[in-house]
Amino acid sequence: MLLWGTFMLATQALAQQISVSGKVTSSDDLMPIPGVSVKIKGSSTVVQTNTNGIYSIKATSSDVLVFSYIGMVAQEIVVGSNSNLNVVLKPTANNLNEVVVTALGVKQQKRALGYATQEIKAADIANTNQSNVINALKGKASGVQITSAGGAAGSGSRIQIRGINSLNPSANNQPLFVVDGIPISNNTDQLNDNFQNTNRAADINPDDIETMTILKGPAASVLYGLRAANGAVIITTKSGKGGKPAFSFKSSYSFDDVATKPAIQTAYGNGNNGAYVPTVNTWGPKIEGIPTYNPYDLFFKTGHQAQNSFTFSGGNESATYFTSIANSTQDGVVPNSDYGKTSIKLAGTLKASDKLKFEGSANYINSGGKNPRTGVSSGTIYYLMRSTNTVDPRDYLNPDGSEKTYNASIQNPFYFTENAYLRDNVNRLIGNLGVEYKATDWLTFNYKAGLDHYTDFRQVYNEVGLLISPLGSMTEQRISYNEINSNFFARASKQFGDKWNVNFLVGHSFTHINGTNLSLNGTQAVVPNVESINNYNVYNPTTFPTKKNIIGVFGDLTVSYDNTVFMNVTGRNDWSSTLPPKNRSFFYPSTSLSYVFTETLGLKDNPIFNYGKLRASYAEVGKDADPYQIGEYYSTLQAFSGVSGVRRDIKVGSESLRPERTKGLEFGGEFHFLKNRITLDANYAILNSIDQIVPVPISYASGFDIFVTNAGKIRNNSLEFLLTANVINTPEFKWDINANWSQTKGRVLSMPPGVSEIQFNPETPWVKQIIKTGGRPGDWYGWPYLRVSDPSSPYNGQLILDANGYPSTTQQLSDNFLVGNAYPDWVGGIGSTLNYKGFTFSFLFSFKKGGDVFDIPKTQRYTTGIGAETQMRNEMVIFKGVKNTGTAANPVYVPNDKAALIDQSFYNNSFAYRLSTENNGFQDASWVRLQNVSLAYELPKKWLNKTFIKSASLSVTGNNLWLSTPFNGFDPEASAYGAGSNSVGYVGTGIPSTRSVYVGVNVNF
Amino acid sequence: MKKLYIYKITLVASLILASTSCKKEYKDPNAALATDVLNSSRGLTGIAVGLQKLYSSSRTGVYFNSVEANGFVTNELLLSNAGNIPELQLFTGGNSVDGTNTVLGNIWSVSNKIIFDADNVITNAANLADKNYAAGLIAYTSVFKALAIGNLSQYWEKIPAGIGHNVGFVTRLEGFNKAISVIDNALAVIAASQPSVSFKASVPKNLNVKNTLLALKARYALFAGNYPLALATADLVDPAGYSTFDFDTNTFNPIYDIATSTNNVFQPSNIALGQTGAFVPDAADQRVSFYTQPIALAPFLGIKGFGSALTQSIPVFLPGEITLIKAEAYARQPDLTNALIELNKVVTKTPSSDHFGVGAALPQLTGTYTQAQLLDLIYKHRCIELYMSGLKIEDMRRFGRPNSERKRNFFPYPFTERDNNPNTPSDPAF
Repeated sequence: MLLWGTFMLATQALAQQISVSGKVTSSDDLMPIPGVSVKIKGSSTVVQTNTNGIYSIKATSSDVLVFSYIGMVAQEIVVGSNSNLNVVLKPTANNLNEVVVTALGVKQQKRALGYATQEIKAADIANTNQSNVINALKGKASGVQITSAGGAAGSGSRIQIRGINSLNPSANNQPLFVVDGIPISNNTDQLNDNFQNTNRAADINPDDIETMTILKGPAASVLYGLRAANGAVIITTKSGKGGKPAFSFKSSYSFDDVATKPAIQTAYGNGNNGAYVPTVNTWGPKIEGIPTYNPYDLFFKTGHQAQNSFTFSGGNESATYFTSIANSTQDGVVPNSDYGKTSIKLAGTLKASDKLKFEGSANYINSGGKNPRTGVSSGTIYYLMRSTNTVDPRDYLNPDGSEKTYNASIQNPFYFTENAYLRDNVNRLIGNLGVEYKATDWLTFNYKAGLDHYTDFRQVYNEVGLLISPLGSMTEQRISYNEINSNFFARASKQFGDKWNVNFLVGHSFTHINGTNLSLNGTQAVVPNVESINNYNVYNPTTFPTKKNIIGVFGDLTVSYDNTVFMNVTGRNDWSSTLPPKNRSFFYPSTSLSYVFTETLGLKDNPIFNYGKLRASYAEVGKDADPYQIGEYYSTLQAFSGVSGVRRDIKVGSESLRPERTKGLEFGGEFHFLKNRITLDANYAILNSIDQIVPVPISYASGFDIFVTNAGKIRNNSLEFLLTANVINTPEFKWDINANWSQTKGRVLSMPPGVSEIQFNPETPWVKQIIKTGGRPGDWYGWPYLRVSDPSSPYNGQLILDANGYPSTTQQLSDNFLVGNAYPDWVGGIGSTLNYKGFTFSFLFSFKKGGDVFDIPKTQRYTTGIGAETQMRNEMVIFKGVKNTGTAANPVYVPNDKAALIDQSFYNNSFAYRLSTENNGFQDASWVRLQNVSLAYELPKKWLNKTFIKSASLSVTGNNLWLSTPFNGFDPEASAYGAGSNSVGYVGTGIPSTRSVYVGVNVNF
Repeated sequence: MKKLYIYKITLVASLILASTSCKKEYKDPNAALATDVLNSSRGLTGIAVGLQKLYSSSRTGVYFNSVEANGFVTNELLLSNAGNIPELQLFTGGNSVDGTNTVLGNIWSVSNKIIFDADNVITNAANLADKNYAAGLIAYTSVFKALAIGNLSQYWEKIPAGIGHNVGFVTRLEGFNKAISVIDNALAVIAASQPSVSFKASVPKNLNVKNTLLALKARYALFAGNYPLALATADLVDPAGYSTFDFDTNTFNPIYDIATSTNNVFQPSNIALGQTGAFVPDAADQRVSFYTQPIALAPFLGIKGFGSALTQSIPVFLPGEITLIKAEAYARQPDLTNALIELNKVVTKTPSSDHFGVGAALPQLTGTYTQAQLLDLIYKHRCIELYMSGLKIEDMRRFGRPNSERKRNFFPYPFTERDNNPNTPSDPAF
């Protein structure tokens, strides 16, 4: 935008001009670049290269030509006596004139921004071979947390920028996804916790992406309005370039397995109290002379992913096109699970005249597969956890095809997986059409309308005879989502004198979202083994249509002085249909300032410290409610005893609901050293979110369970660093290092009046995740051990053991006993890329420090006695601590000498009553992980000279190959509650995360 | 020409603007607004029907949770799966039971909801022009309001005094008396105007409202220790007026659906129905084989009674309960002769002569019994006759059975209540 004002002013004819011409090519592929602006420095004479990258300009020998193109390093060349100047432009890397895509798809110079952004390039996304674009960001983006819901084929991932800013456990705390200026849905239509449903951004073909920009704070995303209150991920897709048609083909094949598994004991077999019984438990006799089986090793298999994509692009001076077709299939690590995705995209631009430009794209995606049923108290992993070690889990079928069981209260995981699953089939169309009209050289109008429409057809099937469905059940569900966005804006850009530059933008946006979820549930199958919704005796249909409209008007003014100081003010007013009429209109402003102080200090050419920028911003952003939160309702009931009735909803919503507000203050800086070889970006942000829209539990004696109101305040402080270093940079050998580190601390400053805590998940008798005033999101509360709390006692802090010599607890899930926090203290990543001749080697380690997780199935491993921890059994142990020889009122503590028996009942009670969750249920899930490692070889050009192939490369990539963590269990990354949930830190019930090795080939011709 | 595009765009944009200003669009179109429901007789009838469903069906219903909570702490029931945490708490008893318990939470919250909606119906029915229809609504909803208040009073020492923000609490005795006054009001309303035929056709059919009101009044008078009132009211109950909660293939018998069919929640404790010592059923007592049946899988004894089929009806009260109320009220007067006469009606009743098939078919008790002996016998027969009906814990207290015979006497208040209502009383020790 800023570049705009700098050209196309009046031209002046000068004496002694010569005609200079040449070709501008890209160092990437040596292809000509059309549209490069070639400017005579200090004058307003500008020409542009044509489709073949050829330019021609009249200049004097003393003139300096400036060649600039978005995304490329500008070059300055003195004309001298040359009448033919060929120029090779290099793509920007750590460059001062780096351009980033910001809100509304507007390209801005990075130096002008007063807030933190981070851009991830196509190569870095492609490098990971991840078919879900969110996973491709793992370990790369600072201040961004990505949690995948596990290793099920097509499983979703959750992305959160900085902290959570809604206290509402069901609020969406994930950023807005914007593709080419138009928001798209990243919903995870997760209707229960039994499946690791896909998040919808995973539908995007990663090979279509040119760049992803992460707008972290409210200042960055204010122009997208309330839907970007949690930040935004701006995706710019590839587009065709002028010149010869370009083809590319990419193919990869992977091997996936579950690497990290909990340890089991194989000393004792199936049984109870030392004797064999065909029970669920593994508390039987010592194993002698019979084979043992590790159910975790036997259950998971090697999965595979095959990805193929083909792109075809090209264009001429007035039109460009880009088409892609991509297909990926995945065979999961769990039997009977798969996922596939096919994406077809067509995009084009048309320059109708110098002033009028059209662009449009359409992307059709079909995705879906078959997913195993998981769940907290029944499901594939639950049953796997309850399998014993002396029964072969693979021997699970009787000759008649029925399940072979050794105990009626559990199910064989293989059998369960084959008989309880979800199929889903998504058909999606994302499209947009835009027009840009350049009214004058300083004024442009831009209109873009976009559509995102998908239907998700799901079938959840439970065979007759399963414990969860003795009579069989099936649900057929049709989810449809429709989003229409319309954005109009006018931009004015004008230079005043030499130094002042003013940009002004004003616009209007309209968003309409409607969705339906039509579901038909059938129970009591007529005939077993018939997977059809027609096969049931009892049906229960439901539908939940929702509708939401948002209208916004906005303005943005940027004034810059001498390309050194940039000041920006924005304002936006939104009207949301989900709020009551009196509160539905709300305004929020932002302002930011950035200052490139090295310009003022004249350090521009300093070899050590050549660039320094300080930035500060203040921004507010509002957030509306989910649809239909307001009011008191009755829902109709199915006919009952021949008559129909209604039932009052347990929730009542305040009639004076206001929008939530987040106010963010941000400071940061960007510093480049050694001629940009080392760059550092540091940022500190404080976000205060007030007027939270929260469903608060109220006294049942009110007749309701939940009241939806505005209340509460939460503060998030984030510190982020990004460092890049170009250690070696020779034509033969290049070595780059990049690192990021970030920390987010949330704090609840106030709660709704009369509410002492809000639960983030159903509490169990052992643990709850709640927030309360002074607490942090993700705080775990559990049962404390009884300990001596008398500073004058020599035993202060020691365990108080009961009469039988066992540790005892307060017998109350104490609100005041904080046992940990589910969010990490900090996260980071260190990556490096080495290029030597045709070889590229890169790796990325990701780090997570802290973050306590509650491993749900650990209970199973303890109580059933298969967990390795339970091998220590049938021993007398004297717990370290004290016993009370006095009375409860007047305790007299003496060191404990009472030996306690460690046996089945000890472990059985360990989770419930004897050992508190203080240390037993929780584990520190810090980790160091080799997120990604890749070796690629680019075939030498000379081998390909005679062929039609322009370039070709081979690669081997590994994801998640190595993990070091104190946690014992499956990979603690996989969240139990899926990508759509705010409940972090519950792990272990989903299909565990996998490690993958990919081999790939990439050909351009 | 080019300007034309801009005009078109602007036009489209303003059309979009203009088409999006519906005033009510923040309200949920998928459900009925409370004000609409409460102002129509159809809406009020819908609530009344909903109350029966809320009370009698599903795992969250008061009936199921009452049978379960009561059954675990009074040894009627055996826990089938220790993975059911709330059930495990109740089965273990004592301090294990805490405010997180969802079985108790369901009784508490659903009962309060029933009371709130019954109040809404009773208040708004008074505005209806058709007084006979209104009488039907009031009487019908009063049954559920009384049951809700009664259930709360059975399990907690104090219960909310009403519905509202930060409500105070009254004692459980006041609770039982409140249930009685709700019933008295309903009886007065139907005495003044007969419930209309059109009302009766709009609610589940097998609920004899007047007789149920009288039976519940007798039950709660007994629980309140008002024996003369209990006796007088029990005498008014028509022995041939039966009431049942009915189920169909959409709304299942909750005991069968959740416990019997899954063998994964609870089963009868044992063939003695959890009774010990002198209270163990006689070997020939045919009620044992009415309430239990052998099953193929562990624990080998399964639920029968009123939880043996998916659409089996559940009686709102048993005829035997009314007879036993009379027997107990006489015994406490003490009128031992009449007490024994009434008790013998239950002891000798054959399954075929009982509407629901509950019959001991034992020989008549003869001989002389002291008041204490007679009360013990009445207690024993209540435990057997009314097995798994959610009343045993109240009987244990009223007959002075020691705390050691049960796993919990009164329940702690749900955390949600304690956290959000400062008037919540402190939890009982046991």
